[in-house]
This record gives sequence, C-alpha cells and structure tokens, in this order.
Amino acid sequence: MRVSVIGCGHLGIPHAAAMAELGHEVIGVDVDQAKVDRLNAGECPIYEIGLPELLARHTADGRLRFTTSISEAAAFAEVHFIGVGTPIDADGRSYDTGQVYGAIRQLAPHLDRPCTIVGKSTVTVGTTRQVTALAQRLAPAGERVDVVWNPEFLREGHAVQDTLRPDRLIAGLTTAEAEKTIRAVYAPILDAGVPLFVTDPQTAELAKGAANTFLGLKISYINAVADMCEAAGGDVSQIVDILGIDPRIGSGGMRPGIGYGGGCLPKDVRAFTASARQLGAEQAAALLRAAEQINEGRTDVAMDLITRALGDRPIERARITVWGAAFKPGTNDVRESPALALAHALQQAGATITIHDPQAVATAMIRNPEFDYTDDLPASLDGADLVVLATEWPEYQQATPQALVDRPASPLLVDCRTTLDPAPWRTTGWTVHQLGRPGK
Amino acid sequence: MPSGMPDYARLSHLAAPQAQHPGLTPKGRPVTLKLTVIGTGYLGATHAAAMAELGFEVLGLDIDPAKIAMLSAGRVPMYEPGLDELLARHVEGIEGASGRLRFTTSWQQVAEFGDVHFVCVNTPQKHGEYACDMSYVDAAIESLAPHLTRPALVVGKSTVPVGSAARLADRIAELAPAGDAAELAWNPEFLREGFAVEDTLHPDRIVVGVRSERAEKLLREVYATPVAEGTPFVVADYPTAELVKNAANSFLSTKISFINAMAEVCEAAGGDVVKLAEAIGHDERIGHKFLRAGIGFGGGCLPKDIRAFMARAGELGADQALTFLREVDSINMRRRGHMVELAREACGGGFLGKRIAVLGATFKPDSDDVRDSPALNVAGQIHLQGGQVTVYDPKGMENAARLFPTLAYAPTALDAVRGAHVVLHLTEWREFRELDPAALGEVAAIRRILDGRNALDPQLWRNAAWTFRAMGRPLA
Ligand SMILES: NC(=O)c1ccc[n+]([C@@H]2O[C@H](COP(=O)([O-])OP(=O)(O)OC[C@H]3O[C@@H](n4cnc5c(N)ncnc54)[C@H](O)[C@@H]3O)[C@@H](O)[C@H]2O)c1
Ligand SMILES: NC(=O)c1ccc[n+]([C@@H]2O[C@H](COP(=O)([O-])OP(=O)(O)OC[C@H]3O[C@@H](n4cnc5c(N)ncnc54)[C@H](O)[C@@H]3O)[C@@H](O)[C@H]2O)c1
Repeated sequence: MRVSVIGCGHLGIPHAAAMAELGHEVIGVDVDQAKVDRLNAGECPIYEIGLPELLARHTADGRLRFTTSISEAAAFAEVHFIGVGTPIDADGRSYDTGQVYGAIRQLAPHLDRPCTIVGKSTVTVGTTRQVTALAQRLAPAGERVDVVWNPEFLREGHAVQDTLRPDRLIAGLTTAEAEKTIRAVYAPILDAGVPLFVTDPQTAELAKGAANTFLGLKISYINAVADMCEAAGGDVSQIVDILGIDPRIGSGGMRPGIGYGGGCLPKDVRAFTASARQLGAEQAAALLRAAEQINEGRTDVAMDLITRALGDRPIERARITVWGAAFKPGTNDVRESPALALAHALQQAGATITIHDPQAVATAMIRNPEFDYTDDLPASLDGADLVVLATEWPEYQQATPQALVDRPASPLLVDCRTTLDPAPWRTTGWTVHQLGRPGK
Repeated sequence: MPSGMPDYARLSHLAAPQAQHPGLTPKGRPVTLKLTVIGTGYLGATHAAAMAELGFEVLGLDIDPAKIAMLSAGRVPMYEPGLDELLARHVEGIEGASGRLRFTTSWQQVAEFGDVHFVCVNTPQKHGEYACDMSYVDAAIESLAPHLTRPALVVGKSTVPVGSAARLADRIAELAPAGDAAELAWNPEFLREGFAVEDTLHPDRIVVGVRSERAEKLLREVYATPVAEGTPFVVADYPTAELVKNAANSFLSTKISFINAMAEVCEAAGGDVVKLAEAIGHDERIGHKFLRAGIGFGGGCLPKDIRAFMARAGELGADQALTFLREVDSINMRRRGHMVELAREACGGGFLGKRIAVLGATFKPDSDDVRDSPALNVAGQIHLQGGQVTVYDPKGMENAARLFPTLAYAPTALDAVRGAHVVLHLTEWREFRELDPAALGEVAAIRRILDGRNALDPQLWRNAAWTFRAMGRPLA
C-alpha cells in the first residue's frame, strides 16, 4: 500500500520506517525542512535502538522518502497517518491539538479521492469526531475520506520493536471500509498474532489516556506504600516482589522512588484528569488528581530523606552529587525528569550540585545549565558530602563500591530508586539510605 | 473480577483420607507438629481443614459454641466450594475420616495441644470510625497467652494495621508462663473467598514476618508441602508482613475503582469501558484481572482493609496515601448509588409500584458471604425508596434474608423475574450468564435488564428483544 506519515518526530520516524519494513511504500512529511533533508540522507535525528539501520535500509531501497510537501503526500498515498505533536496547552492541563488540526487543514483540501486518515497522536476524547467533520468539509472527496483513531503505545527506547511487534493495536472507527484498510495496512503484524481491538473512536481515544493514567496510578500507589514503609519501618522492595507474584497485581511498572516523568506520562495523566473533569466525571478526576499529587510530592519525600541522612550537617553547605538526569534509564530524554527536579530542589535549599548521567548530560545541559555535569562516574564523587541515586541506570548497580569509597568527602549514599543491593556498599564503608526501606 | 469455579481438577488429586494419624509430609516424614486454629470463620475453618489435609493434627477453637458444634459434626457454617468434602475427610468421629481435625471452645486444651497456634479471628472496621477493631485479636491473645506453659509459636493470620505484631509480641512475652519460648510470627492470608480451599492448599506465595530463625523453621515445616510444590516462601520482618497484605488489598481496590472511574468517563464521553479494559489489559503492567467495571467491590475485606490502611496512614503521618485511598473508597461507594439511579431511570423516574428483580445477593460469586455486599446494598436502597424488590441468589439467600428480612426472596431466577419491570444483574454468578433470555422474557412484565457487572453478553439479550444496559457501555 502507499502510505504517508505526517509529523516525523519520536513517533512518526519509527512509524514511517516500520511501515516501509512491513512492505509499504512510505512518504514521510514534516514542516521542518532541515529534518526532512537529514532523513532523506538516511540520517536519524533521534536516538532509538535499531532505527538508523531501518531508515538507511529503506531510504536506500526506495520504499521510504521524506518531503515537506503535503500535496505530494496527498497525491501519493491512500492511507495518511497523523503523528504530529500534541504538547500540553498553555493552561498546563489539556492537550494543544493545534498541530493535529493544522495538519488536517493542510492535507484535506488535496484529498480528491477516497482515502483513510489514521490518527496516531494522543488526543482528548472527542477529537476524532471533530477531525472527521473538518476533513470531510475541506476535502473534495467529502465523505469518502474516512478517519480512524489508532493511538500509539510505543515506549521511547523501544520504539522500533514496539511499532513492529506491539502488545495490541486499537482502532477506533465507524465504517467497515476503514476496518478493512486498517487490517490491510497492519496485515503482517496481525498475521504474527498481535490482537487488534476494533472499537468506536471515543473508546480508542480514551484507551490511550486510560493506559497511561493507570501506569501513573500504579507508580503513585507504590510510592504511597513506600511512604507507609518509611513511617512504619517496612521494606518496600520486598513488598513489590511479593505483590508481583499476584497475577492480579504484577510487578510490571511498579517502581517506587521519586515518581514518574518524561514527555508522555505526566502530560497524559494531567490531560486525562482535565478531560474527566470537563466531562463531569468528578470522582474519576479526584482519584487521578490524588495520584498526581503523590507524584508531585516525591521531591519533598526525597528531600526529607536526604536531610535526615545528612544529620547535623546543614544542607546549605553540602556538596551533593546527583546520579542520573534522564527521566528513566535507557534514554537521553530529560523532559519532566524527577532527577532534575530533585537536583533543583537541593540547589534551592543551598546545596552545591554536580550531576552525573551516562547518556543525558548533553540534553540536560541545554535544559538546566545551572548545574555542573560530568559523565565520569568516579570523578562525579570527588569532594561530595552525599550522593543521591536519582535515575536507576545499570551503571550504578554495576559500580564497584570499594573503588569509589575514597572519592567523596564522606561515603554517604541515598538511593531514591531503591534498586541497589546495599550490602556490598555497606561492607566497603558506605552509609546507605534507601527510600522506603528504613533500617534496611 | 475473575469469576468461574475453582479448579476442581487441582483439588481432585488430593490424597485419599488416611486412616492413621498423624499424616506424612511430602518426603514421607511423619508430621509431628500439632496445630491449632483460633477463630473458625471463613479464614479459620478453611485453614484448619487445609492443615489437616496437609497431614497435621489440628484443633480449632471459636468463642461461638454453635459454630463449634456444627464444625464438630462436619458441617460447614458457610458456603465455600470444596470445604465440606475436606471436613468430611478429616473431622474426628465422621465415618471414614482421618480424625485429624477436632474442635473445642477450651483455651486450656488448645494451649496444651498446640505447637503452632494460628490466630484467624475477625478484624472488622471500628464502629463509626475507619480504623480496624483489634479487640477480637487482642482478646484472643489475652485468652491464649496465659495458658502457654510450653514452647509455642503464635502465628497471626488476621489482617491487622502495621505495628500490631510488635505490640502483640510484647503482650505475649508479658503473659506467657513459657517466657521466651512463646513467640509470635505474622503470616498474612491472601485467600479469595470462593477459592479458599484451593488458595490455602496451593497459595501463590507465603509471607512470614518473623523475629527468630526458630519461628521461620517452624513455619517452613508447616508449609513444607506447598513450598515443595514451588510456592515462594518469603521471610520478612513484622511491619513488611503486615503492610504487604494492606498493600495488596489497597492495590486491588485501586484497580477496581480505576476501571470504575473509566466507566464514569466512558459514560460521559460515549465510550465503551469493556472494550477499553480489553485493550489496555494487554499491557502486562496493567493486566486483565480486576479490570471489570461495575457496581464495585464489597465483602468483609477490601472496604474495611482500605479504610484501616487509611486510618493507620493518618496516625503515622503518611497523609498522601490517605487522600488517594479516600478517592478509591468514594468512587466505589458511589457505584452503588449510580446503579440505583440507572434502575430508577429504567423504572421511568420512580420506584413506587414497580417490581424490581435482583439477580445476586452475595458480594461475589461462588460464596455465600453477603458482608457489605454491593448487590444487597442496591436492593436495600431500592426497597427503601418504595420499589418491590425480589432477590434471587444461588447460595446467599439465607444470609441475605437474615440481614435484609424485609426484601422478598424467590427460589429461582425465573421466579424473581416474574412480573418484573426491570431486572438488575448484580453478582456475576455463572448461572446468570447461562440464563435463557427468551424464557425470562416470557415472564417479565417489561424486558429490561441492567448489567451491574458487565458480565452478560448484550447481544444475547438484545436478540431476545430485551432492552439491555450496562455500566460504562453504549446503550445499543
Ligand atoms: N514519544 C512517545 O514516546 C510517544 C508515544 C506514544 C504516543 N505519542 C504521541 O505521539 C504524538 C507525537 O509525539 P512525538 O513525541 O513524536 O512528538 P515530536 O514533537 O517528536 O514530533 C512531532 C513532529 O510533527 C511535526 N509537525 C508539526 N506540525 C506538522 C504539520 N502540520 N505537518 C507535518 N509535520 C508537522 C513537527 O515538526 C515534529 O517533527 C503526540 O501526540 C504524543 O503524545 C508519543
Ligand atoms: N474472608 C477472607 O476472604 C479473608 C481473606 C484474607 C484475610 N482475612 C482476614 O482474616 C480474618 C478473619 O476473617 P474471616 O472472614 O474469617 O472472619 P469471620 O468473621 O468469618 O471469622 C472470625 C471468627 O473468629 C471468631 N472469634 C472472634 N473473637 C474470637 C476470640 N477472641 N477467640 C476465638 N475466636 C474468636 C468468631 O466467632 C468467628 O467465627 C480477618 O482479619 C480478615 O481480614 C479474611
């Protein structure tokens, strides 16, 4: 089939490359000329495992090309995927769907034959209906333009794998024709046994928000339990292990610590909460808001623990090393990173901050130039009064405590992700505090 | 909620009753430990029978003499699949039974008999408060400990607020004549009613909060059979063992209230919560289980457990957990009111002069437990507002009639539906999924059904000309 992918970012590029890999002829569209030029040269502007190879392969075999001309895409393709950004609004709570409507306004006037628009961006419930009305009004083909919502569940860092072998596909649609198109375009994935859920557009839109909201809720829930452990003397890591055995619970996504971050989860939870409130589902909104509040309170919880760990040494004069800047390990993305939020709070309290991260120093430096950075793990400790583990990179679990113990001014470690085995650290002279494991 | 019957296939391999006692461990070693079970309700009766099944000699105690009389005669005071068979196999005096299981009301007898004492008494919500009422547990310890003249391990199984075990350990140390030789461990119970026998014989995991190696060793011996089958045996400290039970129940409650919140959003936005749940459940971090929207959770555990957890969080100053669970609780309680509203709407705006058939009275299927049952709560509310309510439940009618004597009860689903203006499906018994909508349609005054559990197949009912509505789903 001939398909276009409109909006070539974290979602769009992997999607375009994956569609080519499935055997389609693909044209990617972006408004950013420089990006399009790089992509056409086979260069990959984002960091994703396996993506450069896929891009190189299919720009070379001619199945994949990029353009800034939306009319070219309209003339070429029978399926148009929409993967433009939906950042959070100026009010800080709902999606700004301007790019989605912008793309439709540019595309629709060129649609003079039957085709299917497949939205992949994360949007507020009700968007598909409005997009359909707009597209059919502007398109010469009118009602022969179908709109489907097919939300994307890929995880950054696993984008290629998640696009080629997703857990499931969801298609919110209203016509039999559209279902046929979706089944055809994803045929190889469906043949491999990936389930496709065909439903109405509202359910598809909600499913994306609901999934991310649940994941946020799960993290906030285990963080509330971590607080109980702090207060009552339990061990949250052991609780996670035990709960994980229960198939109704599962340990997946249950990571106690300083909360969730990144470019998706926080904004999706916020936007979903806002839309629940707008729809009058007040109770739902209140629950989600409570989950958000737990997440927002994590920096304070970590600050408390750090203050206690410092004992009678004042935080104002402390030199603190923060391990981790990325919002999670395996990425260089620092959007809404809890690690950087904690570093910020420590600095506000008067501490002098050095940040170490194996991958994200460059991106963090752009966002928060006020901190000192290094990617040298042992050197990051020099002269430190305390080190905080804020992002659970495997580098920290694999570090040799013995080799590091002489670097800091005092070997004092606060593990805010509760992922280290404290034993080897303690036996080599470190004092270790772990969030949610008092006295362990 | 996952439904369906317990896995009888797994129960059927149980060894034939052994005439000799004591029994044998999986390695063929004779079982020498003697166990007692204090409090023989849902948890205790099942635990006692299961321990006898594992080969131990067991003595059960309850302060309710009627219960003890029933159990001694091999009769089960409640409905729990497989439990009656288990009692018949082991209660002393029953023909062909192993005789390993006996019951008493004498504390002295219990203390003299047991090496390990399981405390399984109830821990309800305090009257007019969220906190847990510990008086039954306290009373059990106060009664037992002064009789502990020989080495013994007291093992708490009841669900208690964090900090209780440490307090009770001190109390035992003060009261027991055996001194240090009388110890305490905490071993929270995760069984599900309706699957209690299966869950006790083949648990997902065993968690023990202990303070000594001796306690750990004794409990390993008690649970040798499931551990040999591969059940993880997790050794923890007291607070972790107490918290893990609170944490598990509050997670399950959160998950149910989450999907019910999604149902609320779906109703407002015109989505379909059943499809939504199917789609998101495919993520292994979410999972399909406990992702069924409906009239919410009830029973003797989840509601009281999250409230007790909240109360304890407040005492400990961990306030954020509080607001969070309060929302979980209030979403849950509102589901019942919402069902009443849907029923009122279906009755044309008022219940006066309307006949309402209620299918289901227990808080979940495969049980006769009606404690804090959402189904009965809805039935009761409608009745109080002037509706003529007729209830049918496969196993819960006796308990329901005791709690709500003013409701009408019918012997079959068909009889309940006869003449009804609306049918409410409120507990997801398999029997209800197998009903014939056409046959019911013959006797109903109006073919209108509301599914409060999202468990019936809408198409089946609509095909038989019923107006079908479910929570969080489109009208047609
Ligand atoms: N990043 C993820 O992990 C992820 C996962 C699932 C869903 N999503 C959703 O996918 C959508 C895209 O996210 P992203 O992270 O890829 O964003 P992004 O900012 O990386 O990419 C968006 C791209 O769209 C382009 N664009 C904007 N307007 C355009 C127009 N009119 N025509 C053509 N191109 C246009 C931009 O130049 C940019 O390159 C969002 O709704 C997001 O919530 C993202
Ligand atoms: N029912 C379940 O599914 C389940 C599952 C896991 C944990 N639990 C927990 O187990 C405990 C018991 O629950 P249940 O549902 O079996 O309660 P229940 O009310 O069915 O049984 C409690 C029994 O204890 C007896 N009892 C009360 N005070 C006593 C005393 N001082 N001495 C001896 N016996 C006494 C009562 O007479 C009653 O028979 C609770 O803490 C509950 O939270 C229950």
